[in-house]
Amino acid sequence: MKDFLIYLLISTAYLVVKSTLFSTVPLPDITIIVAFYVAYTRPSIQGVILCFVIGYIEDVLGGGMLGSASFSLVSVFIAVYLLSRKMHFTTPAIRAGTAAALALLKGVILYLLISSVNENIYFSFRIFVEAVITGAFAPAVINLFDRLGSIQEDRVFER
Amino acid sequence: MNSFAKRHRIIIIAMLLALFSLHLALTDTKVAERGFVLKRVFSITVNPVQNAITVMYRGAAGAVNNYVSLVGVQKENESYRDALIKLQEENYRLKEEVNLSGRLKRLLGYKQSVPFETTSAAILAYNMDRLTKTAVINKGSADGMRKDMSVITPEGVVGRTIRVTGRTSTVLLNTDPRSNIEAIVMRTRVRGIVEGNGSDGLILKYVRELDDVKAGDLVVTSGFSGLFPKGLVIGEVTEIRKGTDNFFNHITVTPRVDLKRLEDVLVVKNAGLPTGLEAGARD
Repeated sequence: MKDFLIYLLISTAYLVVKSTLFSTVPLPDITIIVAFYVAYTRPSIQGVILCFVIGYIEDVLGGGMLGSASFSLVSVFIAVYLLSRKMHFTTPAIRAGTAAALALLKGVILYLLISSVNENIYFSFRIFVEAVITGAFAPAVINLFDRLGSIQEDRVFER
Repeated sequence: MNSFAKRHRIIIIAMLLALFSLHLALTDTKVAERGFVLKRVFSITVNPVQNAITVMYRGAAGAVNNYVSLVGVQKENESYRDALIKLQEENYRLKEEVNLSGRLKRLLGYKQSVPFETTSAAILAYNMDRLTKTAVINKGSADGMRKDMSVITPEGVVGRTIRVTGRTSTVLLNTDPRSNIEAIVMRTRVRGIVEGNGSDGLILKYVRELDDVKAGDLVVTSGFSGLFPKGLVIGEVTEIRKGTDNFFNHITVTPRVDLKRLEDVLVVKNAGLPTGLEAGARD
């Protein structure tokens, strides 16, 4: 449970920083990486709820269609959960590729949802850019999450 | 049956949450105010953090500008360096003050020149994420903000408020795909609807192929919806293509306001009637 709260805090901090300091710069989508990581390493009901809550916070903070980001993050969770039965995301290359594909999936889902409001919107080039950036940063971020997890495990062990 | 549900409980719950999210997204209408509690919580917790980060960032950016270029100057020039630092610091500060004063002066001049009541606000945060384009301003219901108030600058229309909390409001920028503004082409008075294209541009919809619209034409608010005052500049027609339906043109409009560089805006408090008329009506 504590793990999930930490990921929730990390995601919220990322969303706040993104909306203030880096609003116009394409950043790696940490929320996607969190969903990917949680679905792969900690597939549980708390994980699904975490993805939903992070998405909801993203919508509330960002002023997006309420439910759109939570839908896309829960979809990402489901995709990774099902994929993880068939393959292992162990190498940095696979992690990077999967994270990029998931960021693209999130972009496509958001595009389709917003298309229901306005059918004339463009499929933003930024979706591809952010997918590539997310993919490029994913192995390093996942590595950090792994270390964070091992630190916590050590603390539990020490107790 | 029970074991099936137990075995696949994660997927079942994920599907249920996905469906619930989809329901929220597809019914995110203006009728019901959703996520009120969370928005309230954020207005008390996260928004002040956003505000603090923005203020600190601006302060730090000023400090970095002042000192970074002077790192590594020789020791013997220290006295000159100190003087230079002081002068530069003062220079930057004065420039920033002149800049701020100019911006506020322009905003104030514009505020006094328009025939409707406005209030100024500063932008705290942006969301230029993929397809969503919004901004957070430092005025909320405590300052008299309401939903669907138009947000403008002397250059033109910025957007409208979509969510209002105690101290902050979220502004739906023109370029957001959910934004739609009733507009007219200034030169020929042709009517249409301006919508965001999800990128940095706008689309003028429902203009027939036989209507007289040219590249370079200014598009302004029509004032018909009562949301935006009449005659505010939205943007300039930059491209006209034949629509796929062979009836309406596909017209691209470039916004007049550079939404990425905005710092201060005006919020129109009563777009329907000019202040003078309203006062007259009250009398």
